[in-house]
Amino acid sequence: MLLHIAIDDWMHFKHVVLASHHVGILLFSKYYQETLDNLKSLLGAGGALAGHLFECYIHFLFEYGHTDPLRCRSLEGLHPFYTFKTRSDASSPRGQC
Amino acid sequence: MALDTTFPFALYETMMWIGLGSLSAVSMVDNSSSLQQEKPLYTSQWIALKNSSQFVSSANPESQQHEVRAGCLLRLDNFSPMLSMSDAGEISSIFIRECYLTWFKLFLLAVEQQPHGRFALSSTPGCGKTFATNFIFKMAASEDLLRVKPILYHFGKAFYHFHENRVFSVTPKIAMDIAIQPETFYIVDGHDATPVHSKCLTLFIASPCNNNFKDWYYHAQVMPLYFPPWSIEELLRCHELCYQMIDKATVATRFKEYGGVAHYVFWPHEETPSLEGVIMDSDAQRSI
Repeated sequence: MLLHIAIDDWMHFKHVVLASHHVGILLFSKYYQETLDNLKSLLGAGGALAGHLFECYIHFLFEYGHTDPLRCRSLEGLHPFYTFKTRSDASSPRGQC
Repeated sequence: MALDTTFPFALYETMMWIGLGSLSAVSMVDNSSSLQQEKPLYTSQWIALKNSSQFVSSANPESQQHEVRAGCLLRLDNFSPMLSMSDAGEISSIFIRECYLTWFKLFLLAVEQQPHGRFALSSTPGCGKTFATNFIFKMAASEDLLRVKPILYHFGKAFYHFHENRVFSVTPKIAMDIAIQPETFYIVDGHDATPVHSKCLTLFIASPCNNNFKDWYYHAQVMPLYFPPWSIEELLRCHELCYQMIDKATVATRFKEYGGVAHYVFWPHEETPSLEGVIMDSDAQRSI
């Protein structure tokens, strides 16, 4: 119902195709949301794997993030969040609040 | 009664043992009424199909021609229901798809090379395999290469033997005997049919997800041929000839949603099966 069989000139199996553009949109909507939810729950669930992934993510940001803002939570004082630029601000310890 | 039903088997096995094996299974079918039962309705429909010569063109639905062409309808001369032993219900006409003709040409060429070969046919579900079976019956009765062959048709657990203008329902044991006769044309029609051992021309028609089908063509080292999904032009031509009770715009809308599957495009009710429901189903992969 969702996938159709495409054939060649000799009526042999070539590949499967989505039944229609409409089916493609429905499948994308379902799997996009599902994949995003799965990733969020994986990263947010804590544990060793989430820690490793988070570490990889931060290393990636420092190395390739350039001007992407990095929000850090302060555990001191009344200013809970600071925003850093990941690479160009690396020499200055604190960015703008 | 028990003696009546078991005696012919015992007699047949004894004859085989003492060397009368040359007596064909077909003659056993004729002689042992407890092992076969004639189906008068199927017999009359089979004769009507063989004698039918009506092909109705989409250009002029009132016209009749005697040559099979793509985009035509095959129907009986008196508009009576066509031979159908599957679960498709009553069939009044068959729309001839171009792929039916292409496949049949390829099939005939292959049968000339391998008269006792094995062949597999499949398609996306809903694309016309069941109707193609009826078309194959008609063509088998028309083509010189196949006309002389008795047909063994296997649907689910049922076996039907087409022999000399008569159609019989036969037991699995008799069917096994018929299937090893080299002159037989054995047609297995999908679903849960498990083919019996055959030494004759064999055609297995089934859905691509049918496990029996996949096992069979893998072990028989056969490459299946497939019917393609319907094009919008084909659907509209078929709509013009057979489904005018459905609005043309509905056909176009359903084609956009379901693609070229006639089963859904010509769904008889206003509410069609839900695609969203299938997508939410965790076993959606099976729905191919």
